[in-house]
Amino acid sequence: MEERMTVCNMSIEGGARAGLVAPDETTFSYLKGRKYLPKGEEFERCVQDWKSLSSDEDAVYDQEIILDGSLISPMVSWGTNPGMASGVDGKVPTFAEEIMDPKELNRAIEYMGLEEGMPITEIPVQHVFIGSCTNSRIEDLRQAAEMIEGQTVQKGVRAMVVPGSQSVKRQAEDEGLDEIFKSAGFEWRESGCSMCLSMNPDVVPAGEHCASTSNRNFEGRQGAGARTHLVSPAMAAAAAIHGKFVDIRNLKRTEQVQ
Amino acid sequence: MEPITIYKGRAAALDRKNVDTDQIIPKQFLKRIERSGFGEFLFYNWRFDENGKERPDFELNQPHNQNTSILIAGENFGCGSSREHAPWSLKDYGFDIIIAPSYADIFKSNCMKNGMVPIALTQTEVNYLMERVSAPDYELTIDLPNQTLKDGQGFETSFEIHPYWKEMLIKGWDEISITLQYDKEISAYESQKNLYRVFNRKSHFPFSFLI
Repeated sequence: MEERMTVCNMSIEGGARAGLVAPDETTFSYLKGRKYLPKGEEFERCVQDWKSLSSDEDAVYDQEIILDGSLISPMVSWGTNPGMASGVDGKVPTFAEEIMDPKELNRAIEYMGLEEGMPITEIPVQHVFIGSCTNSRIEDLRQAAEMIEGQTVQKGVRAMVVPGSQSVKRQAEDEGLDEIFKSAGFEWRESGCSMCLSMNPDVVPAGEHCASTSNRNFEGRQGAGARTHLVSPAMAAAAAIHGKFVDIRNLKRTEQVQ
Repeated sequence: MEPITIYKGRAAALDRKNVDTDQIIPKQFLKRIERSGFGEFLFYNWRFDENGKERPDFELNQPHNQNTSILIAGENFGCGSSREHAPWSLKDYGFDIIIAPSYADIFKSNCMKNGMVPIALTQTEVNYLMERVSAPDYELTIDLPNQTLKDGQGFETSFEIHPYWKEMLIKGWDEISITLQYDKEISAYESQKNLYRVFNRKSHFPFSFLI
């Protein structure tokens, strides 16, 4: 459910005014028993009402796009807008590929301090920010904690977790996630916008790279000259441990073998 | 707001795509509570270096782009954060009209709500204008009622705009001006007895407390 919220949040970066996911059993079970919601029979009446909110079967759309999430590699943005991204097993584009305006590509890789064709896994990471309204709900923090449990943040990396709200923070603490983060070397912070747009002192210094679970990687967003790479919470957590981007699918496989 | 009907002005070209609102008005300037005075921070990190000195290579710092009131830019202009400070800063700097192949939707409506006209032309037309605007005598004329744009040197094209926004801009209205036209009806409605009972939690609509 909370991953759906991330998708809706990020639809704006795709040019949308809003992103919606039709309510279904996942939605209803997520809502059941939550504070501020009706209980018992009244809740069931609400569910019946919510079921009517899905699009009609014969609804007509301007365009339908079907994506198979299982075929998408964990994504890492390499450039200066969220569309400039590649799978972690991919590379920074080359001019010869002609997939985008060469002027835009040149501006982006110059700002980001990257070379064309460079593998994503060779990008060094000095900062890790797990936070923001996009990606710091409880499910996000659980995934990140699972990725780093019993390990230590790479030397030279500053890593922080900023829960999405005070209630997420309390819940994470009740589940012991804060201890997992702190013992790995992460800062465990109060909720807030923090390094998503760096209006407070949480700033990435010029020229340094940050693996960030926030929604925007525009020039200067995390500080003048800061180089932001947008990733999922699990990818950000793994980057903190390794000091670079790693394919978390391989990590999971290795663990299973062990 | 100032009504816009027939508009004449000189244009500046910013030949960049996907210009985001973090570039238009960086976050460190979002702290003031007025709508005015943001122009001096427009494109701050592009306009000024670390010491606050103008960067001579940035488009808007070049001599031929001084005293322009129309901005021509690349596709997807105004993407990213929906901050309304973006149109405020462009307007405060002196831009009333934006021309680009496409816009981020929220930015586009924020412009119109602040009395600016975001005009979408084809990429070919935008390229054509960008090549010519630096000439000192080059001026564009926008005829909003007739939805046309011309340069007085033979170039003429038309553009789309929703009739609602067109009327708002021609009359110089914002949404508050429109609401105020219903002042009598609003007062009559508000003088009803027990008006706020409809917001009671126990009304038939389960989420009335969210209103």
